[in-house]
This record gives sequence, structure tokens and C-alpha cells, in this order.
Amino acid sequence: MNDDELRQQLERRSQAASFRAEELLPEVRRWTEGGFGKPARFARWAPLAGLAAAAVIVLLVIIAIPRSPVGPASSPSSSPPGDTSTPAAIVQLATIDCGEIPAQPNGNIPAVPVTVADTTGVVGSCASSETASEGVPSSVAGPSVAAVDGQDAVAVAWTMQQCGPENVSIRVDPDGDAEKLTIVVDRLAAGGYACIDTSVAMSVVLQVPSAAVADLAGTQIALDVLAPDQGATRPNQLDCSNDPDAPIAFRIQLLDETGFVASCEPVAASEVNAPPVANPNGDLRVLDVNWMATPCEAGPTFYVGELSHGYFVHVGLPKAPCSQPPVAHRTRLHLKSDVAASDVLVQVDRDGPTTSGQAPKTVACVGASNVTIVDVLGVIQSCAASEDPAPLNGDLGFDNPDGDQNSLRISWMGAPPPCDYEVHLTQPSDEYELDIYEMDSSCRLPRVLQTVTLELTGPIDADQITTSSLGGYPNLTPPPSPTAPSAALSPSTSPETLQATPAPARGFECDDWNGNMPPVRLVDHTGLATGCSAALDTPYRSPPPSFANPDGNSFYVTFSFGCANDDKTTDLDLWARPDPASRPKFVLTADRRETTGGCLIDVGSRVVVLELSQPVEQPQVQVVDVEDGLSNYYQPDSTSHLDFNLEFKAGQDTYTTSQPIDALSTLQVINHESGSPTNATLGGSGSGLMAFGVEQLGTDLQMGPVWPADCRDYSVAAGEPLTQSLTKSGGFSGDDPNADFWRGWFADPEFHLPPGTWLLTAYANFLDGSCFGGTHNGEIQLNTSVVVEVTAR
Amino acid sequence: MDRELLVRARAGDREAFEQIVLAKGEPLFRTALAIMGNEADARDATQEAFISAWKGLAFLKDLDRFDAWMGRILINSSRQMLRSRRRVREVPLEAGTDSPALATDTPVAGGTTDFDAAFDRLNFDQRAMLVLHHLHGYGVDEMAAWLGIPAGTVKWQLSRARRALAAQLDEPA
Repeated sequence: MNDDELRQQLERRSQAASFRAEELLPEVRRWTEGGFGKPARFARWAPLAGLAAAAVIVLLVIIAIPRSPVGPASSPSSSPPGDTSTPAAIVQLATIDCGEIPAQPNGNIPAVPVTVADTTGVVGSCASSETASEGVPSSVAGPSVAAVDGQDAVAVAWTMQQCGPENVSIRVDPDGDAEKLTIVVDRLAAGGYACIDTSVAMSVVLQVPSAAVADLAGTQIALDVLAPDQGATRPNQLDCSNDPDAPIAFRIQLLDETGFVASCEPVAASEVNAPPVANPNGDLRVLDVNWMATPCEAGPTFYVGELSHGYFVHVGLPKAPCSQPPVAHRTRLHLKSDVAASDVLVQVDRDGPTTSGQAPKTVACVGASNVTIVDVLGVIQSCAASEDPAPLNGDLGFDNPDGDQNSLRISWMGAPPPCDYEVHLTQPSDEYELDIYEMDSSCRLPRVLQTVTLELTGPIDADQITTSSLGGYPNLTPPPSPTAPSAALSPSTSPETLQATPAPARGFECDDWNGNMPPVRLVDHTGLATGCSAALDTPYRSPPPSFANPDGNSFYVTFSFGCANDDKTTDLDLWARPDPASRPKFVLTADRRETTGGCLIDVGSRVVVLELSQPVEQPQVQVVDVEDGLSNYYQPDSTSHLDFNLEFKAGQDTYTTSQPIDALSTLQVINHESGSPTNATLGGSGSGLMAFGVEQLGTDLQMGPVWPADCRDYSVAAGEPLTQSLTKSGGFSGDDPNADFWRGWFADPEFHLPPGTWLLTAYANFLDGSCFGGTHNGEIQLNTSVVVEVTAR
Repeated sequence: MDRELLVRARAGDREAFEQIVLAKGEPLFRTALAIMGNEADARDATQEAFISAWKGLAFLKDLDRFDAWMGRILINSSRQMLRSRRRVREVPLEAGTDSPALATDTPVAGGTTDFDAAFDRLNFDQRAMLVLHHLHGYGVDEMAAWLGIPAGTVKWQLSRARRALAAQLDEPA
């Protein structure tokens, strides 16, 4: 094909559809006019990336200052945080290097570089320090500002928990028509292997004109959180209680995933029939949420999220038997954006741990803000985070440190903040029971070791704690699926003897809708499938007619294939997870090995439509290629030039119970421009960048992975990808019904598995860049799976 | 592009920005359509590009570079769209609704051709290279500005793209 022919073909492609300005303009106009009425990138919020990912927190300080020294006189005000409706003012930015807030002596927190972007011209210089010693109280939690003795300078200070490496950028802007400056402190925390349970005081001294210092008496201070469309990726946790020391009955925790809740508070309510939600006095910046609860239903938890066409507020109440009648409650949410009550759905569930009678008091843990001790027995004096863990028995351990029975040390493996935990110590008989509950849906992998120590009012022998548990609220645990029975386990169960109860299986020949493909077969292990059809998925073909799906009883899956011609049979197996937790409810394995025909990159995909006898309960399915797994990660919206490939292969596709499973994961770093392997420094857990999980399909046997919370740097050389052989990873509770099996499995030095179909998953979790210095390009999470069959002999 | 229009848009004038959308929308859409081969994706990429431009216009210092800047935004939004499509491995099962992915896969009018099939097998950068050079007639420097990569990289990638297309068409390079 010569150049003219190529141009003609491209011309034809570019004219294949008409441009429709009448469709484009309204969409663009919605943005330019700010017509969404809510932060606009909520739809991308999706699942929390496990642990703390990039988080941006804004501390807003407004300092009174004469306007005269402020930058261009005609310069309009800066856009408020979160406002995307108007481009920021045209200003000349001066960037001033403030140096670094020093690294913490324990090495857990690297140095934090600080810069000032000054649009006013009043900032002469700046300097950073680890403490807020420049005239600012060191105990300050929010933003604070004070004059620096003997200098024309102000010190801006804050104290916050750190979650790994971060950068701080301070923007100094004129504040509209007011005779003030605004100082916005952006903390960009992007590491997140584990939040350090100690707060760090930070201060930055700005050299400014004396007038600014003189007017500090009129300083206004506000605390704000940057809207999600400017980068926040973790939920905002608020305490709606007026009194943080109030008993649990009056504590109201709010988890806001939308970023539009500025603050919340309880207000008096008396109307029994009040609407679930209202804008008091028609004020769209305020939402009153009304609900009924008995005095025994203590400690509600609010969760604010987004629906496709509005918002929802979930009010979670502990399920508490109570003889007293319910009374009206009201919580007022103050919003950053206008939201009509008609766009808000309120749901009240009684889904917390069952309590009885009078609500117990709670004890907050110093240095572990995500842990609350529910002091049912009234024996707990205080709680604090500890560095030295108690010996673990599975995922949970406890002891009396140094034999001191007036202290109780508790350690467990669990998701780091923002995952919240409640620790319950009860005494149902002569012995004690310790239960640790994960509080909400933000608890995801990876898990890290967490330790708190309780100071007691009287001695308790840790050996007297004979029952313990770690997990979600008991009454949130879904019942096992009747169509996917669990493996029959007994205390004597071992990997050699464990035999899962065979799931019901039924085969289908999938209708070839295109009429030009090799057969696709489905084996259904869920009992739900009634038929299936298959088609090629290309932009140039219409979808198969079964997509009409009038009754909601079908769903479709797509999977790509890496060859130009798909000329092999596809064998699919559909499994259901009895206890999916945060994972997809369904797993579809696709056996498509030995494809031939000139493999290129992903050039096509197939669509398989599964017809079900009833609507599915959970709207996700995980598709796994049987032969090997390959997960690509491309850096979105990043300055990084790196892409990542995680590949996972098992040595065989079938093993016997006496054969150890061998599988290898490979992590390769690719230069995005050249497509070639390249050198890189990656930061990750000291145990390695990769870890593994194992799951028996159709049963509730599932384990791993876990990573220790430390972080160190790894060097990847071009052409020498990192590899890691399959190893065991994970932990379990002593109350796990499969505890005996897992105990025996971990004791086995080799990687044997009992008969069944097993999903092996390689996970990679690391920073694109160094753990230290705050210069990495974000956190990368990859996973990919393979399926192996294990037979008795 | 009228410089005054750009200045007004940069200062937050919505009407001025809409005039830019009207002036630049069609050529950008044609570029995206030629690269992606899918009408719905091309519309989404064009829309995303203008939204990004509106949000970032205040920070564009050199208005003379608006065209290259806008083109680069379009390329990035198109690339992101294709990547996100390829990465998706979990599919929402929304009862009672059709496939959202397929619903947007409106066939390109006129159907597919051998050329389309071959062109769509190229990776994104190769497709973009060929469109910018052979459809729009851009030189190496302009392409480098659009794609945000060095001019030297443009040269050899363009050459590689032609060879890859020839291989797909079963032609000698």
C-alpha cells in the first residue's frame, strides 16, 4: 500500500461517522457551567485500592493581610478547592523551595519535601521543620498560624498522621476581595503501605511583610478536605459527635466517600414521622438525616456514597435487643455542594454486633485511631498502639507483656486505616472472650500487623482468654450458598485427606452466534446456568440478540485472546464463591490453551452470554485464563514512563495431592515509549513485591496474601525481571472453621493441595519509585490467576 | 485559532470556549475516529479532551501552542480509553440492562474492511503515528508535540508502524 492509498483509507475511516456538535456541546457545557452539582469524578471512585492510596488533604488557612503587596491588582480570586467550573485565575507562579521536613529517626517516615507556590509575591522565603516550635503550639492538630518572634514571618503548622511518603505543596493566593491571603497546604501522601500510628508535627515558616504578622490577631482558620475530583482517593472519616469522649450511645461515625460532607453534628429531633432526609429551611447545603432507634442501638455509623443519579446515606445500627421504645434521632450534614434531599436515598440497617442492655463505654487507642475498645467489663483504663507484637496464633494473638497481668497486648493481621476495628473483651463465663470486628467495607488487602496494649484497672491473665475471633460483624457474614457446598472438614482434616464435596455440574454447548467460531462449552458449578451463547466482540459487529436480556437473568463476560485467529475450543467453568467478601461473587475459568495462528497483542475478544435461572446476586464475575495469567498495568495520568507486566505460570495444569505445586510469578518493567524492558527502582514490602493467594473453587477455602508493613527499595534491571516462586502466605483465626486444615497446610514445608480445582493468584503491590524521598509515581497493584486441578492420585 | 478567543476562554469565558469546541471539535473527532475506529469511543475521547482542556486551559502559558496542546490531550484521552477497555476483566452484571460496553460499540458506518482489521491490530501509538502523518500530513516535530515524545522516537516508530501495517496486510514492508 503506497502513501496515497494509505491516506485514502485513513480518510475513509475518519469520515465513517458524522460529527455531532449538538451532542458534544451540552456535555461540555455541563462542565463549564459546573452543572453537576457534585464533585464530578465520583463515578471513577470505584473500589478503594485496598490500603491508603494517593490522598490529598487540604488545610486552609486565611491570614489577614493588607492587599497592597498582593500580586497583580487585577487578578481575580483563586478558585476554591473542588471548584472545577472555572479555570483558575491567570497568575504568575513563583515556586519557592522550603527544604525538607526531616525524616523520622526510626526510618519509617522519609523526609517530606516542601515547596511554596506563591501567586501574591509577598512570600520572601520559607523553611520547614519537624516541629511546630516557631511560636505554634506543638499539640496543634489542625492548621494553625502564628507570628514568629523577632521576624517578619508567620509559621503555619499542622499535625497529622502520616501514611508513607508524601510531598507538601503550599499555595499562597490572594483571597478574593477580602484583604487576606489564603494559604492552602496540600499534603500529597501516595505511599500507603501502612499509616504510621504516630502523628508528626510539621511547620513551615513564611517570610512575609510585617503587616501580615501584625494582623494575625484576626486570622481565620478553616479546615477543609480537597474534593475527590482534585485527587482525593480515600474516604473522609468524620466524627459527628459533639463530644468525642461521649459514651458510645452518642458517638456517630461518618464515612464519606463523596467528599462533599464538610462536617456533621447531632441535632435535636422529636418528630416520629419525619422524612428520612430533608433540606432544613430549603438550604441545599444542609441535609438532615432522620432515623428511629432504641436507646440500646448505640453508636450508629453513617456511610455516604454515590449512586448513579444521586447519593445514598446508609445508617448502620447495631442489632440490639431492647425493651425500650425507639425514639427519633437526627444528624445534620453540612455540605460543600448543593444537594437536594430528593436526590438522596437513606437506608437504615441494623447490622452491627449484637449488644444487650446498657451500652458499654468505649476507649480510644492512642496512636491507633482506627481502633476502638468497647469496654463491656469496665476494666480498661487506657489503650495505646504498640510496636512489639504479641505472638500470633493464626491472624490473632494476645498476651500479658512481660508477664504483667495489668496489661493486655493484642496483635492481629488486618487491613490498615481507614479500616476501623472494634475490640470487645467480654466474660461470658469464668473465662474471657476477645473479639475483633472489622467495622466497614473499606477493609481490603493487604493486611498488616497491628498491635495495641490495654492498661487494665485490675489483673487479667491472658491465658484466661479462651475464645477469640477476628472478622466482620457476625450477622453480616452471608450464609453459605446452597449451590456450592463447602468442603467437609473435620479436626483431623489434612491436605492429603481433604475432599471437597463435588459441586453440581452441568454442561452446555454455547450457541455460536457468529457461526464462524470453534465451539465454546460451559460447565456450570453453580446450578444457575440454563444456557449460553458466544460471539466475537469487535466494534464492527452487532451484539448477539440475547443481550436484550429482558428479565435480568443473563449476564455476559468478555475475555481477550492474544492471537489474530481464535481457532481453538474454549472450555468455560462457572463457579460461585460461597463467601465472596470483597471479591467477585463468580469466577469463570477459561481453558483456551495452545492457541495458534500468529500471536500478536490483544487483538480481539469473545463475548459469552450466560443465561441464568434467576437474577444474580452480586454484579461481578472474575475471568481467569486457565493456562497462565498476565496482568498489565499502564500508568494513567502519571509522569512515569513505566508500564508493568505481572505474569504467573504454573509448572503443570494437573497435580496429584502428593505433588508439590510449582508456579512462578514474574514482574517486568517496561518503558512505555519503547516497549522494551527497562531499569527501575520499586518500593515494596521487605518480604517481596509479590505474594500469593490460594482458593479452592466452589468452597470457602481461601488464604492469603499478606505483606509486612515495612518498605524497602528493589532494583529491577532491564531484561532481568523480578521472579518469585509460589510460596504460602496468609493467616487465619483460631475460630476459623477451617483452622485445622490451614494449620496443617502451613506446617507442610511444601506446597501441597487437596483434590479439587484451585485458583492460584499472584499479587504484586509496590510503589513506582523509591520508598524514600517522596518522589515515586504512585502505588501499583496487580494480580493475575491460574487454575490447577489437583487429583487424589 | 483566534487568539482573542483563546485569551477569553483562558480567563473563564464559557462562550469563547464553546466557540473553540465548535471550531476544533470536528477535526479532533475525525482524528480520534481514524485512530480508534469506533464512533462511540471517538465521541467519548473528544468529549474528555475538551473537558480536560477547559480544566487546564488556565495553565497553558503559550497560547500559540494551543493546537499541539489540544492534540496531545486528545491523544491521551484516546489512549486512556483504549487502555481502560483492555484492562477491564471484571464485568458488571446489571440485571435488566444490556451490555454497557457493547452498547457503545456502534459499528462504524460502512462496515469493516481488510484495511480496518489490519489497522486495528496495530498498537495505539502506531495507529496514532500513521493517522497524524498520513492523514493530517504532520511532520516529525508536530507529531512529537502531539504525542509528547521525542522527535527521534517519532521517526523510528513511524517506520515501525508502516512495517507493522504492511505485515498485517500481508504486504512487503
